[in-house]
Amino acid sequence: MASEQMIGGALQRRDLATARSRRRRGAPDGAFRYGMTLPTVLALLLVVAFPLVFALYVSTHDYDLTEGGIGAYTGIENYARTVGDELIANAARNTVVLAVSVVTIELIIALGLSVLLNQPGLRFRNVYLAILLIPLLISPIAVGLIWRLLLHADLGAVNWALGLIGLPKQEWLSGQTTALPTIVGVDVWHETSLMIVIILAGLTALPRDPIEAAAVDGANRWQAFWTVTLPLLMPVLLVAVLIRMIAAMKTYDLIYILTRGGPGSATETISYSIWKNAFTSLDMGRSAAASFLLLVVILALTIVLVRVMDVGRDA
Amino acid sequence: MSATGFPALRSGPAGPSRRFDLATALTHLILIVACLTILLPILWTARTSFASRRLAYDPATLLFVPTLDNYTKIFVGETFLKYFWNSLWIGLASAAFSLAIGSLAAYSIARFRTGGQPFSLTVLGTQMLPPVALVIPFYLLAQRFGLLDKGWALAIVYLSFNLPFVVWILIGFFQGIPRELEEAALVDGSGRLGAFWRIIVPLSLPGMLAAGVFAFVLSWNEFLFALVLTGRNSKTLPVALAGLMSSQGDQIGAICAAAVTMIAPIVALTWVIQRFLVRGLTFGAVK
Amino acid sequence: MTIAKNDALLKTALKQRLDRRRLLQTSGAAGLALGTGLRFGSQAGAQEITFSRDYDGTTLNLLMEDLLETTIIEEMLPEFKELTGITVNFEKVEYGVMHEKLVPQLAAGPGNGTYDVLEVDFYWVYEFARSGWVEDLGQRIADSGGAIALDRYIPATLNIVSQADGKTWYVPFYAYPMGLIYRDDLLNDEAFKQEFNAATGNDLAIPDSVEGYVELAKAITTWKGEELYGAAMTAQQVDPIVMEFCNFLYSSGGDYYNADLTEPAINDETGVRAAELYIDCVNNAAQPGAASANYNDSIAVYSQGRAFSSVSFMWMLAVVDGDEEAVARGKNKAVVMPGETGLSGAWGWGIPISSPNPDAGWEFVRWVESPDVARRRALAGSLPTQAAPYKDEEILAKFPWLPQAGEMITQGKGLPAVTKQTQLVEIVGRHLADAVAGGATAQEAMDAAAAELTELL
Repeated sequence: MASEQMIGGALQRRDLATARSRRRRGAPDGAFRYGMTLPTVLALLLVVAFPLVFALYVSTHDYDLTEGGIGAYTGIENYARTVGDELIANAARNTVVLAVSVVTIELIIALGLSVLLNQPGLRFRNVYLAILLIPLLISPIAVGLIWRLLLHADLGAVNWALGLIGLPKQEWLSGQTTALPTIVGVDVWHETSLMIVIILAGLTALPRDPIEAAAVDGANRWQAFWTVTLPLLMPVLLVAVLIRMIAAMKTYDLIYILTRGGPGSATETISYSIWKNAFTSLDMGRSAAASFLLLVVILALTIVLVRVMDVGRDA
Repeated sequence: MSATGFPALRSGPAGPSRRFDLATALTHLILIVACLTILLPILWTARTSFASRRLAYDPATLLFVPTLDNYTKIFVGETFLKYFWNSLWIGLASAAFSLAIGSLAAYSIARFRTGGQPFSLTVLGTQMLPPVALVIPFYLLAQRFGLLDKGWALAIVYLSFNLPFVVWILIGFFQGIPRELEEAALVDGSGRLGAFWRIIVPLSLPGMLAAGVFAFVLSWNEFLFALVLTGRNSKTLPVALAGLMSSQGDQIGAICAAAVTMIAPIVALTWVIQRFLVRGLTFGAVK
Repeated sequence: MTIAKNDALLKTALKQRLDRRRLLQTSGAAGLALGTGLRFGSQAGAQEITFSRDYDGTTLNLLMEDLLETTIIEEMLPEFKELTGITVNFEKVEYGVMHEKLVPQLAAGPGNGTYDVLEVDFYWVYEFARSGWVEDLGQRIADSGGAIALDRYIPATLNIVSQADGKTWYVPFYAYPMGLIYRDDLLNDEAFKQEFNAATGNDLAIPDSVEGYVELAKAITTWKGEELYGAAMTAQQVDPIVMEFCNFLYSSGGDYYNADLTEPAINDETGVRAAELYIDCVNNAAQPGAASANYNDSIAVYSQGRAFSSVSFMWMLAVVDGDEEAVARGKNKAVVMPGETGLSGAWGWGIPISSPNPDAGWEFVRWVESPDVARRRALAGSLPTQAAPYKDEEILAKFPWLPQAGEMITQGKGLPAVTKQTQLVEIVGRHLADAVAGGATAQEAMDAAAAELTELL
């Protein structure tokens, strides 16, 4: 430890750690390790690097499309204005509510359904699977439009069905308080199937031994699940939650189709807000700044999640 | 835990099989409810795909004469088959390549912590920006290199979108495979890459599949970049769908017809998934 | 109808304009428009219009909104190809994504764009022109050999979608004015009228003020709600709510800015009153879900015969009448928004600086807006911006509501002449939607909007 501190610097620390592991495990040389990551790094550099750097550059400049090219350097002004913007605060609130609700609900439902689907000898499994996976292949745009049709307050099937059992017409997407929950509902309907795929894969990849050992030890199914299966599944669950959360915080096309951020700004999320402002105010510098702020927030959340759920990681 | 078939049909010890009865019944009940939640809107979509505009907005009319106009519109009037094909091959290509490239990186990170957390977080970080921030530079790039309206340009863009997620998903799965297996292969004289190919890849098939499906779906559904980077030839489904909306009235019937056709590959997809991803078959037993 | 009536209409409109000094403020070329407008009854002598074959073999790409008007032209394209050898490709998209698709490639620099000719909506006029993204068409029009002549157009359309800051940037294409569409059959049905009288104590009549209209709509909903609503409305952000509101605002005598564009006027007494009326109408006279309804939703409601009226675009009338199964088919009439001034929108043709083939593109514009082609388009259902079709017997026979549409165009207003009109729409829409949802009073909402509108000046 002391020698580590003396050396300092992430690079040296890393080399030391891998050297240690190398001594322990006879690990391969750097060429192999870095070589494996090379195609990925190259692909990302080639495609995403320029746009990312461009966006970063532009976020610190005055870049209003109607005024021609990229203007003067403005430092953190774009960022400051974004943070102080009331609209952003509202959008941030909505985004957090949406993301947290969506990820939590989808995780629970997907986990439950995956476990059920995974039971050996389950009859009709293929039928269930086929039906549950259908939403995967329907674009968010179609999903949004179909649900708009169903939830039309005056002429939609859902309100009509409610009427059949004597309930009044609900506002769904046009109510100030009902719009966001409705969007959560539609998103859950659409995206749970993706989580199911990942979690099913995780369940399948689990080694049987620990579970069978637990059964032999007399644990019933519940106990086996909680004490053995779930912890083993953690890495996969973490990834599923992370990915879903990142996607949820970037949601904008569903918002665009379902409510355009309304009624009022009740369903305006950060990503939608940024997108809308980019194309109405044409102030690209500002929208780039807002985008990077969002990135920072998502990154922070990611780090927190990884630390919290990082139970089963190999040392 | 090794029951096969409906427990109710088995003869066996009274206690455990009765418990199995209830559990299985509940299982089916829950699954059926979940399936209905998915199925009912889909059935309504199918209904609407055969309905005229007026009937689309008239839920009370349950029986009506179906019309094929909507399907005619999208397949004859609009060449939806072409957009379907575009989405399909772009999705498959970007998924396949991101799997090939990403699995290597994921292995390196999972086993050897290459680059540590900063590296893996940076990789994931490229996907934390909302798409709108990158649209203009992407457009400028594509335009500069004459890549507009070219399907494979979009496939490459999607490749870079999929990579971070594929890498992260696979890291999770690779970590679940015990090191001893590769050690054994190495001792047997195979190279590192060989160990990867012959041990890791087959064992992590579920994960590969999940990552592949994920990447495919991501590309299949992506809208903004498809909108900006494609034109008449390489148009993908989401853009084509958006084209069916109009301020003079969304062509909801056509949209539903398109949605119904989009579901068609689900049969193939399910077959693949249930073949490789479901525990019920004795698959992936690690002995 | 008759030249005399149209001239009278025009003179009234002109008088109203002069009174408000609106025209002179919104465009420096207004004087020119006024002058040429008074002559629009006479045709510029029958010139032989020829098209060039210089661009034989070129392919033009255009981004067009996916609508009837576009389809009409598409069907005529083979003719253009025969005349000039130019192939024209329409890339058709939905309105909501047009702007998004256009902006990146307009900003790409000279010759670097994808589209050769632009279809420009009236609220991108200043944005594109002042950003230097489109060509000044003045010289091209002068040299167009009679194919394009600004005096052929209804002057109002020149202000809305053609001229800005004293130059001509676009050639008007088709107009989409807004007005009041209503169920004429119900208006004239004796039984309905008597029941209405009994229920409300008033006579059923189309009102002549915004206040009166809102009263009527509310009365109908109170009386027959669930079966028939007074109005089918579209209070969805961003576009629908503002387009609808413009009619309420303008017909109440209000506007977004004051006459010389130095200060917002939206939060003065008239503006706030208009907002209050609008909010009242959405919440108490419109169909359920109006707060997030778009045009698609409200057309559905009106088509099914569940609304008595709708403040909407004239093409909505065409859609309803053209839908064989619509309950409301053939039973409608349209009239200028009660209060005499509605929103008038229009599309125009422009040549982007980033056009790969500007000259070939201009040939296309010359052809598509030449009098004969324009007339045939009008006959097929595209609402013309040129004045001649409004007096054409054949066209009038086919579209009996054409005169009212003409009135709406002549008396209508567009959006104020700020560069970022899209942003203006977004700002107003957001605050008004807030007020509709109950999150702010009309005064607060308009004050907040005014604060942001100041920054656009």
